[in-house]
Amino acid sequence: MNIALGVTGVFLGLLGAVSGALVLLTGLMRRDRSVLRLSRSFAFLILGGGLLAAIAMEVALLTDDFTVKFVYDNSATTTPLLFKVATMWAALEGSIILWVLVLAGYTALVATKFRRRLTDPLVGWAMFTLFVVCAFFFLLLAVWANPFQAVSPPPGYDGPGPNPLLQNHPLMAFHPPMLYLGYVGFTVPFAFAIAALVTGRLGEGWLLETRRWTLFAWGFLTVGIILGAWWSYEVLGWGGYWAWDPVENASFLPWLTGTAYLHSVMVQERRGMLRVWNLSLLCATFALTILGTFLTRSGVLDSVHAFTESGIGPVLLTFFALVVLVTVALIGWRGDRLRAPGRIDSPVSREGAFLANNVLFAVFAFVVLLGTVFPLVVEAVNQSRLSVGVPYFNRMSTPIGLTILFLMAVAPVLPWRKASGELLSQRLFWPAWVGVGAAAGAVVLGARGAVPVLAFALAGFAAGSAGRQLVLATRRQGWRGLVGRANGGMIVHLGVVVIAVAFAASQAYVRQSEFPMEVGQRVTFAGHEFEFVGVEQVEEANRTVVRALVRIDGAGPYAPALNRFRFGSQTIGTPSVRMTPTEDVMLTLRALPESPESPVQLRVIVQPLIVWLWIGGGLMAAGTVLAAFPGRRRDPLSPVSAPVPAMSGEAPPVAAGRSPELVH
Amino acid sequence: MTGKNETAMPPPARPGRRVRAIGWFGLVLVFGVVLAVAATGTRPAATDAERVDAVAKTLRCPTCQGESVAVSEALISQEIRADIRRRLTAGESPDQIRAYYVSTYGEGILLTPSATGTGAAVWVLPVVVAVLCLAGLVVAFRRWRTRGALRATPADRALVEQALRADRPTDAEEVR
Amino acid sequence: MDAVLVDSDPAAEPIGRPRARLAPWIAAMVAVVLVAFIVVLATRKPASERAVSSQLIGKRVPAFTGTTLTGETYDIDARRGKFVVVNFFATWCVPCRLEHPELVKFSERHKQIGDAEVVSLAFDDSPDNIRTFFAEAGGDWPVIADGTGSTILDFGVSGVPESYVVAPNGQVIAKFLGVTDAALEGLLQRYDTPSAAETGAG
Repeated sequence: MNIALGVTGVFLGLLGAVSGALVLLTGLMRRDRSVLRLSRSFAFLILGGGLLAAIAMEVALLTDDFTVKFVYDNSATTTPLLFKVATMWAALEGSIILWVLVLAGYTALVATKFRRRLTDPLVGWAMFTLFVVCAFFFLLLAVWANPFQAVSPPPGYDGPGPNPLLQNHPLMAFHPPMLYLGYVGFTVPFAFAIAALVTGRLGEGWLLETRRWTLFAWGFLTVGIILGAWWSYEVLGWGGYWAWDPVENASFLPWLTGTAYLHSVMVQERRGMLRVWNLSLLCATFALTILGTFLTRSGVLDSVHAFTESGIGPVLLTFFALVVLVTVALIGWRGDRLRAPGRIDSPVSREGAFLANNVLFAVFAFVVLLGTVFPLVVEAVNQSRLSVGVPYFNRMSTPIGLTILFLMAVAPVLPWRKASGELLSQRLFWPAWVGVGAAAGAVVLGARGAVPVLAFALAGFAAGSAGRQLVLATRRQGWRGLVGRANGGMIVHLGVVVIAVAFAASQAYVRQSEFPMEVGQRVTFAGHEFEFVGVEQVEEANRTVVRALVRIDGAGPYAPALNRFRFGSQTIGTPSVRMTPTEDVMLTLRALPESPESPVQLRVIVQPLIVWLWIGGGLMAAGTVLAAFPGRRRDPLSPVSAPVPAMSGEAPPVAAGRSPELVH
Repeated sequence: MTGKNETAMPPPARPGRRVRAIGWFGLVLVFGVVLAVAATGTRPAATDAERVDAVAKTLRCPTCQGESVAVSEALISQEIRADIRRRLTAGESPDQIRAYYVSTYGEGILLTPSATGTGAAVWVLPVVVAVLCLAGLVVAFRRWRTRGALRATPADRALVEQALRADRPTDAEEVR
Repeated sequence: MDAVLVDSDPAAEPIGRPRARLAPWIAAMVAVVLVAFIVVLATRKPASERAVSSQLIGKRVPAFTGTTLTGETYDIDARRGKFVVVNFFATWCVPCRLEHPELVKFSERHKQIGDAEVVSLAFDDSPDNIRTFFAEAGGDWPVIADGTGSTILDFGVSGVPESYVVAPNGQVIAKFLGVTDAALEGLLQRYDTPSAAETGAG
């Protein structure tokens, strides 16, 4: 029953996408507006298919329908409810269902949002692109990653349940959907970029239309990445939250190019420049999401988070190749026409800062990509095996990160076109003192080491700069000074600064040690006293939990645990964390004690400011939402935000940036 | 933040300027002292676990998937961590320990490729790309400065009009 | 109002100044790099299938001594003149249990000939478990259960099972993940007919 429902959904979606693409293509070729209007119906057909497939899978999971192969392989009757729901994205095939569902949702949203402009070739081509991408992912589900295969389970069969690591923390239920909302969301701006290239439509119209889509996708991706980091911190128990693992890098890469785009797009809106570059960034972002999907699902790279290898690797790679070649060809064909005749007057200007930002983010993305695939490339070149890991990424990203912080401090106060030294000295004075104050404060509190203190100084500088902008804006506009792209952006900047500080502090000042402890024993480490109270064992439906009860400074007990799940021989640890605003104390149980009285091996990790990573993430999310609200200047045709001088007589400031002769 | 509003601020008066110059000078001074203190200060002595961890972080767990020895819970990683601890206690340096692991497990066990041979590319390429990007920017700014403003032709104007007409949405609400 | 396709418009011809045809060239260069990249990705085997390699092949076997389960002292350097299969295993590892009969076959045959022998080193296992296992599954070659940690690292062992074949001259000539009697036999024969050391895979 569920199988029939699911397969119907997949084929409905596939049918809708393929026929939609074909119909739309004929409509576009023949410029038949009545045909173009049909795209909305097709979009909803696809959404229906995706919904049906997802519902069928969830029903199968929740009712323990082991006749469905995916449920048979990945679920168990004893799995708790939340994780049963989340099992859909805990393994390869199901994760593609989530992907198509999100993609279908976005497609339907675009069709609804632009319902009155479906006959516009730009929107038509964008819908066409969306349909093609939909068709690909539904095809993936139908042929290579079919979760709805039938099996006949023996009577009394119970499945193995999802990977123990994935049913150990509720964050697992939220991190992948967020990530997918971000990942897949970049398909929308990509579709409009392709449409702009195909139609050769000059101007920034399509940009205004997709800017907010990009912003939301980026915000979801940010939240997804932060939740993923939080999950690994809470579950993996080595005190880390970011390991530069290929899968993490795969999500970080589109984030980097997306961030670059969100900045450089402002140059295009303001000055009409960098069009081809922006198109390329959008296409690169989308291509990187596909590449990331390939890397994490084909098994070519070693990664803890990778899905089990499967046959879909070559298919995804083919799609990646198709995306890359089509976009590169389109840009090669249209690039010269789209190039803008403008110029940037001075490197010390807002647009100069955006250029520098783009260089930094592009280099950052290059470093991450290079480090991720380098072992593969070397192996292909001379058969030798090399590894690239955390130390490499940390060393390379430190200077890049510090430079980005510096730029975040300087750029917001820069005016468009040109800045004088006098102006900079005036506007940066207090932010710079905030930075020095932050560094001095950190040193007084005991922070040592040039690099972390430099990071605190630059972070303070950037925070001062963002704060200055917000203060000025709220003074001028009241609460509306927190809303709108520029102001919301400054809040995002504050979030980044908070994360940067927390990152630098937790990396530089982490303390850890391991103690064998007898019951009743006390040890002191890093200013905390630990007392081992005893061990307790709990049998749960799906696992056996052994907890060591430990008091930290008399509080608690905290209970780091080891879990043995019913299936799988490995024991999975659950660390216990005491979270305070200043530092986190993480306790991990290293090995099962042989008897309740025997000593346990306890690992203690003390890291400062960890909680601010998550707070910073929340701040970034809040800033993104505020940035998406219309700010003061939202009318795209008002002289201030229109990219090219409008017909009105007065010369808007933008026009001054272009050649004066252009102004009538 | 718009540049427009800020340029509207009154230009600072002369005396304020001198005060600010002194302020900047003081800032540089204070920052120099802070950095010097930060760079010379000592940190608490590392625990055994931390010294083991520092080495283990640079080694790849041979059997698991892309994890370092420091992170992995695989048996072989536990074995290697115990061995690192033994060797550190015996007085070997982290580099000596790494050299030993390269001799038995091969170059692939290092998470940081060495700066010689093929591995060097991973260090050099980013620098090359960064330099190329910067050079590109410098060239671009040069050309922008020397080329001067463009002269628009009637064809340009027509194109602008046309593009504007084409891009103007039929319905402002939908653009939001 | 309907959009106008600019490419159908003569006004879209080069304006003002001759435009350099830059984009096609840059796009072509980017395409070349990306195609090379895709080819690299497409030709990679999955990480789990990469070939077995070892730093030890062609080198002298790392020295090790140990006490066997029967209480004798075992010294690999005292075994020159014979082929020695150094087998790393654990009774909790399923592939090890699967390969065991093959080793038994190999060992039985060569005990009579006297030109090759097996020695097993346990990986995180207890002597009692091993004794029970050998009593059930056969095999009477020396087994070292304790203090194998540093030897495991000297050999560059990643996991169990792994087997290294040491030639009579003390040189390591092959590494196997899972080993079969036939593979070992083939290796020995090839080695007798003079040829270079090689890597085995199983």
